[in-house]
Amino acid sequence: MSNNPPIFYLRKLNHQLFFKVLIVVLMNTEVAKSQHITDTLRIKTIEVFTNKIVKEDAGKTISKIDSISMIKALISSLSELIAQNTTIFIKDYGRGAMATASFRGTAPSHTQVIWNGINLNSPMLGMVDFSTIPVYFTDNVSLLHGSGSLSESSGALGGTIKLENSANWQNKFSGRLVTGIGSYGTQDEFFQVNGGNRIFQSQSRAFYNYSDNDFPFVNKLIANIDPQTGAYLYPTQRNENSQYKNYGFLQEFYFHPSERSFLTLRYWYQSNDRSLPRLLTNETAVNANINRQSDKAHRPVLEWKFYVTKGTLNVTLGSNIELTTYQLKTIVSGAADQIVTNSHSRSATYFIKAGYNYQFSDNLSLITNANITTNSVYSNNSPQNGISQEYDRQRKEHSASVQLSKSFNNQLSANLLVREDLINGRATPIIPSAGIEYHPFADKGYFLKGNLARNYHQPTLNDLYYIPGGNPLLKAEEGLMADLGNGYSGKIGKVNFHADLNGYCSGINNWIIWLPAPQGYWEPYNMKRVNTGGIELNIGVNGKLHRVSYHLNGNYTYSRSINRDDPRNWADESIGKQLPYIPRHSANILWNLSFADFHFTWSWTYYSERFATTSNDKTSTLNVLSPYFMNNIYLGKEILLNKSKFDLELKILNLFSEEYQTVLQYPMPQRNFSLLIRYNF
Amino acid sequence: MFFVLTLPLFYGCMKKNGVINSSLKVNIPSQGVFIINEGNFMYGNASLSDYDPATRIVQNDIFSSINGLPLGDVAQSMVIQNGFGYIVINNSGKIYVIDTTSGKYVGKITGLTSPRYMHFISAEKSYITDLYAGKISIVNPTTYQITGTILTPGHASTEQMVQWNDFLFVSCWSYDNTVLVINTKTDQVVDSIKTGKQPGGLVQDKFNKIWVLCDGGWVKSGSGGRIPMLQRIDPSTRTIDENFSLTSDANPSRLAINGTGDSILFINAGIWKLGVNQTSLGDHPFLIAGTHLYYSLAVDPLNSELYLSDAIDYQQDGIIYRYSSLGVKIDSFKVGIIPGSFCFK
Repeated sequence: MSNNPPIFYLRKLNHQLFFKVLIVVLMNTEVAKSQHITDTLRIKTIEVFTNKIVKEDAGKTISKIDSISMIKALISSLSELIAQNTTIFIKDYGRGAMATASFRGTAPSHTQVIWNGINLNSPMLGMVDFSTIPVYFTDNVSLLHGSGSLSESSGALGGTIKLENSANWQNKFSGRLVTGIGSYGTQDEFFQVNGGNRIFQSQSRAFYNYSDNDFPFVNKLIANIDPQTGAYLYPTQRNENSQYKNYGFLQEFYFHPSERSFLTLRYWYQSNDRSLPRLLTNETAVNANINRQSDKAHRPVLEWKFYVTKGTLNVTLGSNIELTTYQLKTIVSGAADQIVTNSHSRSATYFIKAGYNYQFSDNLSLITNANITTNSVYSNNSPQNGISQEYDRQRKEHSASVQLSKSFNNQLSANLLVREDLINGRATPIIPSAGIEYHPFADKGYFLKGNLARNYHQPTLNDLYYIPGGNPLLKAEEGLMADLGNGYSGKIGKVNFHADLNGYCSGINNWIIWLPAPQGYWEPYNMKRVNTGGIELNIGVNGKLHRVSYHLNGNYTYSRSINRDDPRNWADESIGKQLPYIPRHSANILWNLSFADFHFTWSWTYYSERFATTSNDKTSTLNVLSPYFMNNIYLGKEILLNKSKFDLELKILNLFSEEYQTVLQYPMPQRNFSLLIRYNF
Repeated sequence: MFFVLTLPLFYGCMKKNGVINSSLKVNIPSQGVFIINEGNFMYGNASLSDYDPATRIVQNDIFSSINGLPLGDVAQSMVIQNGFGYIVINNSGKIYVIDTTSGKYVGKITGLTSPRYMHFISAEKSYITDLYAGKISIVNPTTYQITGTILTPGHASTEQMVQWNDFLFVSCWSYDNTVLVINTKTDQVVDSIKTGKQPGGLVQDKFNKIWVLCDGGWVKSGSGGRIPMLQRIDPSTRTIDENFSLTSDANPSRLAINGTGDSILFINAGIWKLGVNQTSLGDHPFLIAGTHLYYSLAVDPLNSELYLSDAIDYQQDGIIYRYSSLGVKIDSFKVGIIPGSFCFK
């Protein structure tokens, strides 16, 4: 017998948060590298291990996704690539739907994604939807764990994912074509053409990706009662209204007018159209609560790099403009459609960045960077019969950093970085970072490293200004973080081997979360503190056994993210518990074999249980997501036809038809297939 | 090397996701109260609890324990009719029907849009309001079939219901300011009454007057000039004959009435109480909020004891406080996530 205000607002807010994605910001790129991915799936044993310390990276944990994994995930989104190959946990709302990252047990907004200098994190929501980033459009992916990200920007309390493209200056004319079909009416097309000479190179890429996505499943969370026997009849359903269509193109021009000068222009356009699947317990009318989100993104970036004696000058300017519309409606027979939510937003980031890298000698360098970024967000939410609620805000950010790096001898290097940010003219406290790396055995690949840093993450514009609930008085999140690691890379017999074991911990004050407020809607607030800590293990092995080349990459992560807030009252059981949806243990292995023209890959991932509650309560199975293993395999063969090389590949996803949920009650597909042909020219 | 190669063979050896074990033994007492825990929006973790005030025994999560199925997404309300409990699951678009003595699921009404409350006109006819559909569904509660609709043009949201003779008074809550009058014989909207902004809760006092709580919309919703108010409707004349305005920063919710029909209660930070003949709200609440963030309120019609819920951080099991009719604390106990409403047996 009571009124219930919060749900309505909760509904609106969640739709805002669940959807809408990405955008914009900054800086530097590497043009001159020519390590282009070749679409060859047979393994070439490449000596990728170097025992030389890069003094600028001393103490940082940096991991790269190798080219085999990149090729395997070529027709996938970044979410699949990251989940299968790194220590980052991806929270996936279903096939083609939103996917967010938790890096070192942090929130989605604490992982920054930088594509050729543009920060793809939305200034509105702070996070990146990894399902919208095609692997097609990037050539190199590397991870800067924790404070290693400070050389790029502040704010990445978990870390930064760096996506980079590069030109092959030896290229005259080349390209590749990928075409694939898959289960549930899925179609993938990708085309790339590269042309040029030693002075000018052009790369053009386009992709199209569509899926009906209406996979069938037996729904064991609802049941009809057999009128005769009284037994439960579980319905077989389809994942209705979840079709998605994504397409985009990327044009890159690389210009090398003189020995010392490189100029790069890139423009990336993309369109995504999709929806969030219904929950398994949903039994609304077929035409009720249909949601649809469409995003359009424009990302131009211009970069100039100039080599002077002992130094490099780097200027980048660009922008990231994202337009999002979201609609939730119910089609009512005999009446007009009921538009429950109709929201649209425009977020735009413009930035200019200049950097100068000066090498005093082989043993001493100074890197200085400065940038100016303007973020603006217009967000409009028109609820049914309601007054439209909107905000239009800007934030100007100035940032400067100086990094001094020194190599003391062949075994010991260290660096010190100091960063200062001005947010709308107000200075944040100084952000320092210090790293050290030591190779105790001069000719061996064993190393020890450590890093200590402070970091700040500013509230998003939604955190500050969203109507209703935004709180302009929110404080920035402040992290103190420490890293300690050791590893080995080298050869054991004929086997190339590397292993990295890192421990990290950080204390993050003023962690921002949204909670229901007495007024009935949700409001962000600063938690007192969250402590994170964990272990990251990465192992890579490759070599050749008789005529079989093998390659293996594995990751294991132990991650604790502990709520150290003040209890709300005596009954609060959330203090000292793991934050919701962050697994304690996660692991993955990607294992690739090739023999003659055949190649075979097995991808395995594992996540321990995750809690949907802040109290980590296990008395009800409703709020616990069970652990699961996921197995995907890829079988391929190279075919030579009239000097043209084709590669045929069959992918089998969810090989054992595991019944699993990555987010409570979102349906996931059983075993499914895709077949693709790659053609390089 | 062999070890490494066989490692991926581990698979599927854990309990399957999404299957709920239903082995738990639950005995539902014949007296007491069901507590409907909303759960989190889009988490599908609504649950049903049972509390017996005589023995103080609490049983949580009884629906899934007995039936091996989750209740669904955002359980809104529950009513009991002829030994059957009808649990309205707002964001699952359905109503689960249980046998209130065994707790067993016996049927369901599906295909709704965003159902909120259910009201019985007769043993064969009930009305179901809806947050978004712009219509009230007419349902046969014994066959679980939707037999008709009452369109409410211009009013997407229909909320609580109170019946006076053959006329049903329905509040139109979300972004609305109307109480509709429906003739239950003809299933037609026959009249409407303008109220304050966002009329939600409706109760009927011992003089058959209908009280309506208008929460005024939300402070920062940009509508401006909000005045939350408690209003009284004379159902015979369909006019508002009493009006209590609250301050513009008030956030009243959860209108309730005591067992004898002579005191109105609602939450506005603390718990406020008003005699039906009182002419002023007074300056002090009946119970102060203290450190509590009260989410829900209900009054036991048998003895006028108060049940108050606190959802804590809304992402863990909430707590219920039971008070005597005079405001003395009797008991407190944990239930499920976001305890939102109560259904007395």
